[in-house]
Amino acid sequence: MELLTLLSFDKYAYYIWFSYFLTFAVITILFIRTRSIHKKAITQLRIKYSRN
Amino acid sequence: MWKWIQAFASPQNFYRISEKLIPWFLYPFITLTLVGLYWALIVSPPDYQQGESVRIMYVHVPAAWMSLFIYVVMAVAGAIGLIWQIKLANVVASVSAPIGAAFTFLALVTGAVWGKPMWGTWWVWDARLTSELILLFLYLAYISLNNAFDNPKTAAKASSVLAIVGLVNIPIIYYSVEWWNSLHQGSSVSVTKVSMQIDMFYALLLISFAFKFLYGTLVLMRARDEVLIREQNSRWVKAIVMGGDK
Repeated sequence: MELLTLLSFDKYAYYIWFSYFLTFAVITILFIRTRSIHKKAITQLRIKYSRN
Repeated sequence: MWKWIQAFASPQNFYRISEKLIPWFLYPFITLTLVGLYWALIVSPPDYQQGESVRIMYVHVPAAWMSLFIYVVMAVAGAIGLIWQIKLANVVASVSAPIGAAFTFLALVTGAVWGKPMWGTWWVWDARLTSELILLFLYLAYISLNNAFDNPKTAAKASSVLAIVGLVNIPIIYYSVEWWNSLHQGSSVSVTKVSMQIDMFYALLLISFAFKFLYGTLVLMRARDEVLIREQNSRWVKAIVMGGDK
């Protein structure tokens, strides 16, 4: 309860939490995109090699 | 040293070594982020003028530092690629651009979110904000140019020249608050002095290092895939791809 009060950050809670959630979202998207690039690269190369 | 760099820069060696390097960047990133968040949200005190809103600084400032740092890395890598024709340098430059653009976007948006309660406005066309926005456009232009050519060599040449020319914007961003009247506050951290409470500085430092390790992780992961694509006609790539996904 005390921690929740501590993390309510006065009248700036919306601005602070929005900034941190946005940062988290951007980092998550960067990792997801990296993973999808990897999968796409491997699939593309496998198709190419199996054709040859 | 030069021989070691050349050996590491060979695509095959890079692919092999980078796999072992990724955990050395990923785990420090996770640890530093968790400790940094604890310091930023719980340990560090509110600012005597800005109150609790100062906590936005712990994501805004490291993101802004990363946006400059990654651009410099991109331009230096581009220059190395142009001068010494090291393929890996071009790979590092091209995979860095989207990551740099993401950090620049983050710096701009968190800056606007911090600006609203402090300045009473989301945006002003002052030198610091405008030059940072130009940096985002430079990243986007680099990405577009790099994707505009089918030949990776031509793409690397054109985009490296753009990155090097765009480097002029970096000192403009850094010194803009000194050269022009700005609503944006001056630097609280420099090489010679730190003008903030020590716990605030630790929080800033922890998240800055976390972002550096994040960048290292993402560059290594993305560069490995880019190397596979560029070296797809090599036998070692075929062996890796057909032997199992690594």
